[in-house]
Amino acid sequence: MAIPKTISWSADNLDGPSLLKAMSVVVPEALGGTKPVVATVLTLGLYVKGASSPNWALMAQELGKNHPCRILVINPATPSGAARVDVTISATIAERPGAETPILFSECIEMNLKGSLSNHWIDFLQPLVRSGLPAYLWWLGRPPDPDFRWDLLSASGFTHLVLNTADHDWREWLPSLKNAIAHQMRVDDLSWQRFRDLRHHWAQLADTPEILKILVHVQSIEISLLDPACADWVWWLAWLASRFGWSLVFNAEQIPVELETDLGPVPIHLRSGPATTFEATWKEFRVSTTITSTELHSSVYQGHTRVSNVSEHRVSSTVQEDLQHLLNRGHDMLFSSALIRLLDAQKSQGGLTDA
Amino acid sequence: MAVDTPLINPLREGLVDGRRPQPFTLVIFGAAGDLAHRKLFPALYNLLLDHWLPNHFNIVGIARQPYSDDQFRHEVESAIRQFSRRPWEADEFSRFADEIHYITANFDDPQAYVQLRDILGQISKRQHIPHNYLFYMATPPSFYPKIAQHLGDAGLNRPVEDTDWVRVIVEKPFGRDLHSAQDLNTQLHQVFDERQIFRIDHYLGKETVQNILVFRFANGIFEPLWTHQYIDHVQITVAESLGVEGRGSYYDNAGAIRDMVQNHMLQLVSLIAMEPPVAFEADAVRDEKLKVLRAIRPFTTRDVAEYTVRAQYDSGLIDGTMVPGFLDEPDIASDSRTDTYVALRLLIDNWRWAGVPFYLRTGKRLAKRATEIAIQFKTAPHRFFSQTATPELEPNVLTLKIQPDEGIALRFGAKVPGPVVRIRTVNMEFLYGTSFADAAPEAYERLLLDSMIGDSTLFTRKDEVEAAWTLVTSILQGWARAKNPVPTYESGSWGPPEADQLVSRDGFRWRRP
Repeated sequence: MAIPKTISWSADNLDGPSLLKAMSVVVPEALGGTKPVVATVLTLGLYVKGASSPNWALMAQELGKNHPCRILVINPATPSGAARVDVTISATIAERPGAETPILFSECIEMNLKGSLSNHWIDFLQPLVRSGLPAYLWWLGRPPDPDFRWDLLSASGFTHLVLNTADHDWREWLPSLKNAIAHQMRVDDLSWQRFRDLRHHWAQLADTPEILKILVHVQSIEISLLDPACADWVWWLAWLASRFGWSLVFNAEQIPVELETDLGPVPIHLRSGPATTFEATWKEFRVSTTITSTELHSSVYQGHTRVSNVSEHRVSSTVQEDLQHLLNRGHDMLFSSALIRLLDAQKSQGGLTDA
Repeated sequence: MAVDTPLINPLREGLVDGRRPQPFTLVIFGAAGDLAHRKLFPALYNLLLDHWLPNHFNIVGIARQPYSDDQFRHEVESAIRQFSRRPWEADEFSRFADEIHYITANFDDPQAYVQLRDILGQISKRQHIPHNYLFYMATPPSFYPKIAQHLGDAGLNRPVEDTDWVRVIVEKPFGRDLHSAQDLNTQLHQVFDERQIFRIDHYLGKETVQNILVFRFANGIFEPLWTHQYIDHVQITVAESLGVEGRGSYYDNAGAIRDMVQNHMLQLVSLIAMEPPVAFEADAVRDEKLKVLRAIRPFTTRDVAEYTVRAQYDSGLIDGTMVPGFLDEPDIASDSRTDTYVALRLLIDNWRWAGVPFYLRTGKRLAKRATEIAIQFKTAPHRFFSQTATPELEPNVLTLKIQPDEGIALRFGAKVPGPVVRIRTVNMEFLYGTSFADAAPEAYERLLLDSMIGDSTLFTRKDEVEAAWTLVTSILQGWARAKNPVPTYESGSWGPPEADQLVSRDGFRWRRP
């Protein structure tokens, strides 16, 4: 891990070539003319326009201390006035023993884009995306407009789109995600990352053949939500559907109301309740998981008799930790599979047209 | 309409970090000892922090030291506080294990195993968990057969239900020659099946050692070069700056060849030289490693004299401090002929490696601590730069650095700027520690987790152990016949001159790690 020696530099009203030049000289100048060994393994863009969290600047700096990456903070400040960009560059340097060349562990380029650059930021950014390495774009604000140039974004070198469906209604994101996938971008959701413990928990439950049998033959799904705005249940259903080869059916509000399984339709009953609980029922058997902020507690019932019980401590993590986890592990193919179930459901319902 | 329940749990498929063991109880023989305190308890604690442990997990410790359950729990806690790579968190420790028990007993006391069986049965009953048991032999090797026999007598060697599992982890040294290793295997097999036995070699738990397989087989560009056509020779160095460090009585009976070569270094050789396995599965990988060990040309008595060097460290300076020679260390016999340094030349008689020497060296009290594998390639076939200002081109060397500065370096020639063609050797370097944000787990964390899951890929199989001992025993027998004095080397040096001659005879020299 890097020793957090940080170098900072800022300038107003730069153009593209002078920004590139600044990036190549700021760190060596601060190191007395020594060119560091570059350790960054990816580019991470943070598109922060309309971001609900005001702490993205701090978050970017913290990420830079923990992950070897080039961070580009993209802040299209205002479309009015002349085109200009104000830049702050910070870098984390890891010293090495003896006379070894220091390592450029990470760099963070914070850009306030003004005038026409606030709309044409992709072109401006292109030279800053490290070539030949993965490039993630975390979109912190509202989903892009329908006329967003996904083709330009993809061509600029960004290979991954990251969102957080905990911040925005997942249904608003679906058209954008469909477009991103159509342009060969990989999509990941930080909210999905955070809920990995639920997937592990259900995988562990299904290691028991009797419980797996209940899931395979499921006849109804009951979902009780403490927080009606929370969409984790949607991803849980989409995950189950993708793993078992089922389809999801939406109602007019694009809410999943049914699973199409090999044995026929399975109704999904959604209600508000005093706790968040996911349940699957087959005949007199029922698997039920109650989710709190600290624990996953599951029981299996035969009629009214509880036949087994599993409790697990929950993994708590911050958004920043979720992002680091994603950057370390890379794209989660399970999310793609689950997302495709949702996109298929929306398409069947007539909510999406082909890109 | 009916559907069959799938044989494989579809919810397990594709899970990132999907390796979660079933609930189980870990029984540690030698739970009061150094290994348990320094390695096992901290490793378990870090597995807990990383959410690798199952929702039910228990520990039963057995040793002669008289502890109550509470005292043993306190021992576990203080070991974690002292040796864990992660800081102590009281809340996390509160859910470290559902139950922690301790049995004060001698390992050859049959009553202890009856008590153990009762405790294990009660735990499973109380917690409604399967009878899954992992026995860890963290004891001197002389106890392994006795412990295994008593476990068998108590009926603890077989699963209670078909879906339960029972496994046993055996620490090195696994025998002290071929005969004793075969005896030990026979004794363990009287009680456990091979698939239940996990012989631990902590080198295989190191991330950088596992990376050898990834480097070779997950990249398309290296494997085509990985043959006698392009590789000149291979050097494997495991250098320690420490001496015997209070383990004199053990070390004087083992020496560097038993302590390092038979296990760690031959494992490195087999990983470097093996053919691609058909799958990254336990037997597929171990089959290929075994083929390498069996293809190593055996040593005749004459070969031992010619292609092996052993030596003992003399006094000298380490980090500016004068240290004693091996024969002056505590618990070392004054006439000891034990090797603290070994250098070998191996030849692997197969298609891929025909004519490529593998030079191995390991020693204590060397100039610095370093473990690395250096693959030296043949020089370019046509030297059309020979008329330039650079008469001699250095060969390319690919170095896999195992410790302490984990990484990979490639040495190659580059043009020095200027109107004259001058070539200078430069290094292209990848540093493991700076390219990933996750801290590497300790070797014991990975190996403990694998044994909980039942994945024996990174554990040595009976035939591997015996093949390694076959080679090493032939060297030991050659040394036993030799009457010449054991050479010495100054502490803080890179070994005796005889080792330099071993490689210089073939036109090479040792790298300076």
